[in-house]
Amino acid sequence: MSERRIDAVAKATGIAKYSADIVLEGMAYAAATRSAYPSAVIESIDTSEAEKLEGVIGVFTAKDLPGGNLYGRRVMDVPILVADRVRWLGDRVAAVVATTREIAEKAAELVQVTYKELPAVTNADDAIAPNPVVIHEAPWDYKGAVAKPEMGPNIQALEIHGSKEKAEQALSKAAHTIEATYYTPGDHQGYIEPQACVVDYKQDGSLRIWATNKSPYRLREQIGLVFGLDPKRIEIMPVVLGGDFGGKGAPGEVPLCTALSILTKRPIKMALRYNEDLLATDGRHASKIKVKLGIDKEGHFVGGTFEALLDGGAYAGFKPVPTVNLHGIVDAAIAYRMPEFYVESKIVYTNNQPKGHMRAPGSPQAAFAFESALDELGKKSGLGPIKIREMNLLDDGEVNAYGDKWLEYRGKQVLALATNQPKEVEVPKGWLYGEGIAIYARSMPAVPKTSLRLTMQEDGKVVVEVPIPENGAGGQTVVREMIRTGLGIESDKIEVRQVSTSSLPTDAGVGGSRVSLGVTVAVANAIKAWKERPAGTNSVEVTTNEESDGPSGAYCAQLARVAVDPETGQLKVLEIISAVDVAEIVNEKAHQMQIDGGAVMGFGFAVMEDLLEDDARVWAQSMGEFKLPNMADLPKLTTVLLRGGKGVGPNNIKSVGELANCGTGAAIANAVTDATGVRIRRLPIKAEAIYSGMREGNN
Amino acid sequence: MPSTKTEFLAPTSIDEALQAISYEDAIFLGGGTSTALLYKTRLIEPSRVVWLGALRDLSGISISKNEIRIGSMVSMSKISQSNELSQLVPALTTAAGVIGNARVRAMATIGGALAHADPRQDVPPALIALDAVVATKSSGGSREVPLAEFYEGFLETVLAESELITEVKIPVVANRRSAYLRYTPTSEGDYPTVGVAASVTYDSNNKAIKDVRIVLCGVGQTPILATDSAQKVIEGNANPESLREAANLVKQAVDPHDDERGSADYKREMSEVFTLRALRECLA
Repeated sequence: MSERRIDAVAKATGIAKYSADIVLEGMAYAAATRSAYPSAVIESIDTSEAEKLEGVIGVFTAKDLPGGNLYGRRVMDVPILVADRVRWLGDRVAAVVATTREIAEKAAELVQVTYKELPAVTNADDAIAPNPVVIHEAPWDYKGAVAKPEMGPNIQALEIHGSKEKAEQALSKAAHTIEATYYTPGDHQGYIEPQACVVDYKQDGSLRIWATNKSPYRLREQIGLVFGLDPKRIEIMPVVLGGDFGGKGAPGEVPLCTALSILTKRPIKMALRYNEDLLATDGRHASKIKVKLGIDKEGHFVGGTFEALLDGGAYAGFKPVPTVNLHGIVDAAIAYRMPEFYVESKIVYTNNQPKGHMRAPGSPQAAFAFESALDELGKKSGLGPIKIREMNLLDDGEVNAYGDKWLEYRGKQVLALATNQPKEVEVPKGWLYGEGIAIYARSMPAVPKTSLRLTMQEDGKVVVEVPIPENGAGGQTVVREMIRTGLGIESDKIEVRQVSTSSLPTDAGVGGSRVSLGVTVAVANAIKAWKERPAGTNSVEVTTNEESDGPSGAYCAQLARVAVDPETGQLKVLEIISAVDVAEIVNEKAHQMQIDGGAVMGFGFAVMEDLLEDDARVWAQSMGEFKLPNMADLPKLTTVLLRGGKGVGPNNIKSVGELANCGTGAAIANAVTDATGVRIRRLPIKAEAIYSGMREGNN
Repeated sequence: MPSTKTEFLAPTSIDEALQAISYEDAIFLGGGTSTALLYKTRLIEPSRVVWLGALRDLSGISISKNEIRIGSMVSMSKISQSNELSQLVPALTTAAGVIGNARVRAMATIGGALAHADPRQDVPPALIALDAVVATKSSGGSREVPLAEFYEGFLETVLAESELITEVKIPVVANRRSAYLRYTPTSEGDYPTVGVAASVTYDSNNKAIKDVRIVLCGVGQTPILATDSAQKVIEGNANPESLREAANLVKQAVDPHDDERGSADYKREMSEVFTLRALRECLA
C-alpha cells in the first residue's frame, strides 16, 4: 500500500510555506536592473532617478558590494552585479531595495545605464569558430574552472573518453555506418514556483536564508565562500519547493540578497516573476551532437564517435559537478556493448542564458541523438529497430564502454516488454501510424551523504527530523513509510519534519536520482541505532557513510505509438509505453509518479518545449509562449514494471527519478519515421517539419 | 511590471461606467484574461481600471425568432455550454469552447475578446461568419458596427477610447449552417496556427446556396474575410470542385507571417487545408 503524501494537505489548503510566503519584521524588497544588451561594456550607471522614487531605500551597483562579487556552484564566474562588461541579458547591473516589490521593480527600470555594445556570440558554433568574440578573457583563472588556455577561447568544459583515432579506425572496417547530426533547443525546468528568497543578515555576522533551493548545505558553503562567512553561521531555513526538475540547485538571487541585507541592515526578499525566471535562471543546454556508429555484418557495434557541442551561455557557474560537464552526454553508450567509443562533450561560453541542470543533465539530448542514430542504422542495415538493439544490449557479466561491470543488465528484458504490449489505441481515420523505440540506461549513484534524527516523544509520537527539502518528488513521505515499516509504528504517530542546516550535520541535496537511496540508508541506520540505544535516551542521530553495493544501474525502454495527418504533418502521440527495470519499490504511488511525470516531461521535450533562443534573446517570455504539455495534450501513458531486479542499499532499490524522461524524444522521432519515412533530427518535432519532409520525400 | 498605483472602480450602471472611463489612461476590464496579457507585456499601463462585472445589464443572452443578443460580459464558458446557441450558431459555440482552457473560458468575456483584437483569437472569425453586429455606447450616444468592419489592424478596432461594447447581435438566419475549426499542432492550449470559420446559407428549399462566409484567424493582422472563396462556393453551389477552388483561393486572401506556430508558407498551405475541412463540415 502507498502512503499518502505527507505534504499533500498543506499544499492543497495553502498552509505550506514557500519562500515567497516568508515575511519578516522590517523586511524590504529587492529587484534587479538587468542588462539591456547581451554583450556590452558598461560606460556609466546613473541611479539618481531611481533613488528619487518614494519608497526606495537604496540603489546599489558593483562598487557597493560588501564581499566578493563572483559566485558559482563549481566555477565561480557569475557576478552578483556586473561592474564592467555584461555578457547576457540576465546580467544584473544594479539592484534596488524598496519598501514594496512594485516600487523596487519600478525603480529598477529608472536606473539609467549607458552601454557600448559589443558583438555577441549567439550560438555555440560561433563560439569556437576561428577568431571568435572572446567572452571571458581568462576563464581558467576563475575558482573551480576546468578550462585551460590550450583548449582555446570560450570553453567552459571539455570532457573526452576513448580514442577518436581508434574509433575511426574501427568504423572504417564497419559493414554499415551512419553519420548524422542532431539538435535540441534550450529548455526551462517548468516548475510552477518561480525562484524566490528571503535573506536576513544580523549584525553578529549570522545569516538566515529561506530560498527556492534544494541543496541547503551546498548553498551554505557557496554563500560562505563569497562573503567570507563561516558556513556554520549561515542557517538555511526549511521551506517547501514548488517543483524543481533540476532548476532549484543554483543559488539564485541569494548572493545578491545577502549583499543587500548586509548593506541595508534589513531582511531582504526577492521573488522573480515568471517572465524574469524564464529569462534569468539556468535551463537545459541546447545541443548539437554529431554521431557516427558502425556495425559489422551480423549487426554488432564495431565502434562509434559522439561529439557534443553544448551552449553553456554566459557563465559556467550553474553546473555543480567537478568536471563542469553533463554526465548524460558522456554516458551516451552506457546501455550497450561498444568496443571503441569516442565521446567528446564540449560546453562553450556564448552570450545566451547560462545553462545548468535539468532532470538527468545531458541525457535527454544524448539519448535523442544516440537512439535516433541507432534507429537510422537499423533501417539502413535492414536489421530494424528491435534486432539492432537486441544484438548490442549488454548481458550480465559484461563490462560496459566505461569499464564498469554492473550487478545486472536488463536492457533486453525491458525492450521485449515495451515492444510486446497490446495495441489499444485508436488511429484517426486517414492518418499514418508508426511506432518507435528507445532505450535509456542510467547508473546508480553512490550513497549520498545525509543525516537524520529520530526522537520518541513522551506521548509515543516519533519525530523524524530530516535535512532534505521536499521538492515535490515525495522524499519525506518515503522517510515516514520506512519508519512505519521499520519500527512498526502507525503513520499518524510519525511526524517528519524538515529542519534547518543548523539542526543536522549534513546532506547532499535533492538530485541525481539519489534521494531514496540516501534516505533508505539513513533510516536503516537510525532504526538500528534506535534499537541499540543506551537506556534512558529518547533520541538518536545518524549520518550515512556507506559505500554503494554497485556498480549498478537501471534500464528503461520506451515505445511511442504515433499518428500523423498526411495533409498537415500534424503529429499526435497516442501512447508512450515505459518498460522500467525495478528492484523493490518503497512507495508505489511516488514511484509511478516519477515514471508518468518523466514520460510527460520527455514528451514535452520531444514535441513542444523551446525557450525560443535566438539572437541572444529568450523569446518565450511567458508560459503562454513557453509551451509545456497540458492534460489535453497528453498521450496515453502505460507503464510495465520489470520487477525482481538487483537493487542497492538496505531496501534493495533502483533509481527512477531520471529514467523515463530521457528516451522519449528519440522514441517519438523514430515513430515519426516509421509512420512517414521522414527523419526528424531537430527537437522539438514540428508538424511543419514533418509536412515539409513528406512533401520533399526526405528520409 | 505593473505601475505602482492603479485605481480600481466597479460601476453598477452603464452611465457610471461611461463617466468613469473618461479619465486619462483608464481602461475597461471584463474578465481580465486579455487585459492581464496586455498588462504583463506592458502594452497597457492603466492608471484606472473600470471593472464591468458589477453591471448586470451586460450579462444576459436573449434569443428571439430573428436575433440572438449576447451581453458583452457573457463568459465564453456560458456561450459554449448553451444548447440553444449550439443549435443555431455552432461556429460560435465551438470557437468559444476551444479557447485557452476551462479557467480562461470561465473568465473571458465576449466583449473583451472582440475589443482585444488579437488576430489569433477564435471567436471573432466565427462571429463574422455569422454576420454579427457589435452594439456600443459612449457619452456621444449609441451605434452598431458590423463585426466585419470592426477591425482595423493588429490590436486595433474602430472603437473610440471611451466607447463600451454593450452587446453582440447575431441574426437568426433560416437554413444557415456554420462551423469553426482551429489547427493547433503544438498544444491544445496554444493559439491557432490557423482557424477557419465558415457559414453556408441555403434558400428556403434548402437546395441552392444563397450565401457563404469564410473567415480566417491567425493568418493576418485582423480576421480575414475570404470573399472570393465564398463566391466560388456560391457559383458552384458547393460542388466538390468549387470547394477545392475556394480553399485554394484562400491562399491569396491570407497574409500570414513566420513565427513559432509555422512559417508564412506553411500557414498559407494550412489555410487551404482547413478551409476545405471547415466547408465540408458545414455541408456534412
